[in-house]
Amino acid sequence: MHIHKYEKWWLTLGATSLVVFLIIVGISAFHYGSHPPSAKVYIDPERVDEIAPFNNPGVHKVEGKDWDYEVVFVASAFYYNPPEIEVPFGSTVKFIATTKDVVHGFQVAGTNINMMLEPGYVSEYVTTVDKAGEFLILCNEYCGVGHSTMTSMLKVVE
Amino acid sequence: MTTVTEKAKGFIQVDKRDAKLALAHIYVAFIALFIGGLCGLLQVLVRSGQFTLPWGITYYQILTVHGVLLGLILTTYFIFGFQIAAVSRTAGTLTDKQRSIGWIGFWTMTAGTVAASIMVLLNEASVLYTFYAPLQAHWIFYVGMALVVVGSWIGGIAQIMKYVEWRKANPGQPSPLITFMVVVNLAMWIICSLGVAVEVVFQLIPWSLGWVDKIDVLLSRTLFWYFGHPLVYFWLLPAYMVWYVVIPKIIGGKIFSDALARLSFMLFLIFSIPVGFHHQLTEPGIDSFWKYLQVVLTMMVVIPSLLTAFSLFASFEIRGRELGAKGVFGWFKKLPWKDARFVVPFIGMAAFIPAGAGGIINASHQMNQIIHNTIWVTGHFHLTLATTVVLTFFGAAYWLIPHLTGRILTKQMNHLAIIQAIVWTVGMSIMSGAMHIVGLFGAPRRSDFSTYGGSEQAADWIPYQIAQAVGGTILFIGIILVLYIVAHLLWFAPKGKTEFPIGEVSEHAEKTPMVLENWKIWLTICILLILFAYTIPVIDMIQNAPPGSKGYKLW
Amino acid sequence: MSKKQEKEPELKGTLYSVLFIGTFILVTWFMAFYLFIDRF
Repeated sequence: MHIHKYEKWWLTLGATSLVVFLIIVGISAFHYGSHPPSAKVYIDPERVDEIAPFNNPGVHKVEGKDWDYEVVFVASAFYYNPPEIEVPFGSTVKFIATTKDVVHGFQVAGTNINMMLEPGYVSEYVTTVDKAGEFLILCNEYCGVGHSTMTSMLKVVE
Repeated sequence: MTTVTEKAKGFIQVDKRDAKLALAHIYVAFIALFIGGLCGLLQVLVRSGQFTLPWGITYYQILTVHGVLLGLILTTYFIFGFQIAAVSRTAGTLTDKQRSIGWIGFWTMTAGTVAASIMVLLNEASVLYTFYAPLQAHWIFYVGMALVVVGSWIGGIAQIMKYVEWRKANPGQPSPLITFMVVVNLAMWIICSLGVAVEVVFQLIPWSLGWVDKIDVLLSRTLFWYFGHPLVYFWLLPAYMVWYVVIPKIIGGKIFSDALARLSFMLFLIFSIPVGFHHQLTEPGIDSFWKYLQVVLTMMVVIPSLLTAFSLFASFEIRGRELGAKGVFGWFKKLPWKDARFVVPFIGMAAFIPAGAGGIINASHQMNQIIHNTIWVTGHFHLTLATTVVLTFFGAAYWLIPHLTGRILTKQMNHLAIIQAIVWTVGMSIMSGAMHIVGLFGAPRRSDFSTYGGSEQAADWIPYQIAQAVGGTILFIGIILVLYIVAHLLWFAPKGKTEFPIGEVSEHAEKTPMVLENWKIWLTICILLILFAYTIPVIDMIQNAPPGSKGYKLW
Repeated sequence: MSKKQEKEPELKGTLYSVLFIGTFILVTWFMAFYLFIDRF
């Protein structure tokens, strides 16, 4: 099949750009560990309150791990527990969250922390909080009539 | 090729009986546009914080109506009306049997639409058009959705039968280009909608009827998105049909290459489906490796769009140069800027540049975390669907409807159609622009007005939400204008003959290799890629499934 | 349909147009990537 010379140039450039994008995100993920939240941890959604760590939501200092704090959230219509958390500036934090009922979102506005919470699954994301301030945590997946009132607050303090 | 006979006959008229079937679909499409558009207006007003809905209607109820009517009903019905007319125009009048099957499909879809709509209006199904479990709608809503899908299969089979008949009657010849494209679109549609059909019939309906207590949430979402991404290509491909086949004729030029057009459609067939995980990038329970693999396949589906961009510009430039254009960009001025049939879809094409660029960002694996479920996504598909696709459909309606009704688009209506497109462009630039920006700040999609407990961040979003209301209001004016034009073309325009423009292939173009019409090869690749992308993660999902979820009605 | 060894049509404008699209895609993508890297 005959293809115009310029069209060959264009397809080469286009395909190369796409490959570059894929290499960049691929290396970020598989070399530097910057994966999208993809935990494979399972839980009985009706017994969340009894099962560790969700029997004790909040901020927990940990030792001997790749992160300094574990932040445990339980989502249910239309609340997050805890309603507010504080972590020190510059610390590495593992967010661990699940839902007791329907699908919720867990998004920290203005950051990359953005994960789906689905009944039966635990969602996890590790990041280093390198900006101080108050960040709104909100539900970004429609969960019912109170959806837009479902919030919490992340305070990164110096 | 059909071109020689066409020249001899003047232009070909779609048979009256086929026209009636096509028009029935188009009626429903524009009714859906009116109701769905009205709901869109109410949404942007609510979200500006300046307006509250009366009579206990909730934001999520009108959001469900908006999504279902515009995302599923307007699109599917317009596409079917257009495709039936295109097949009848290029592959010949439908047989009585094919037409009857077409009508059965139409009434099945319509029964489903009515059933689902009633449940939404009764507030029994405020689950949005994605109906994610374990929010549980009334079972009649799910049955209605299933009927829409099944009806579309029946109607689709009528179109495919005509194609099969044509191939048998013309062995060894490439089929009429637009009929071929219709069949590619239907093949993709049938393969992908099997996923949502399985979800609805085997998961949602038994669960909503109480026959089973629990549902596997992740599996249901995966089946939905196996359908959900090809769904957007099902909207887009008819727009590409107009761009590839109709627009060259309108500008007085030729189709740049029949072979490349077919190749890009076959690439869409094989790469549109095994990519659903790029809608599930932030979900637990799916390994990052399989997400990345589908991200790679998603990038492959960009390539046919790159091919398309080149082909379109090439047919414009060649035509402009035929008309004596000089310089590098002289041809641009030679395009028919006063012809709505060209200008309106052209704006759609232009909108696809930011739309496509945004889409690549959305699908870029972990970068999806920046925008997932923010209103950036809403801004994105209001460029793809609500500008690129919809303006192309409007542009097509301006010759398709008068062709089918035996009327003409008058000069005044042509002028008004261009004004309509400009109104649309202004409204959409404001609304979608604001959505993109504030989405990057973190404002969520699909959310009622909220001050988020007095959060400072959320306070910064409100000016953008007001901008969305301004843009959305302008868009609603655009909807009124297009409905006025459509009503005129249906009932009031002067009688006359309007052409159904079908381009001829350039004499410079190469002969089309028949391998492009070898369905065995392409469907095999399509199925293999789906199995490759989905088998292992789905088995994993089922084997490791946590306890299922009971239903919730939280609205 | 096609005569062999035909001269290719002049498509310089097309080339520049698609290059514009390509540049737009690259620039917006790297802006988004920068935003991702900058945020925690």
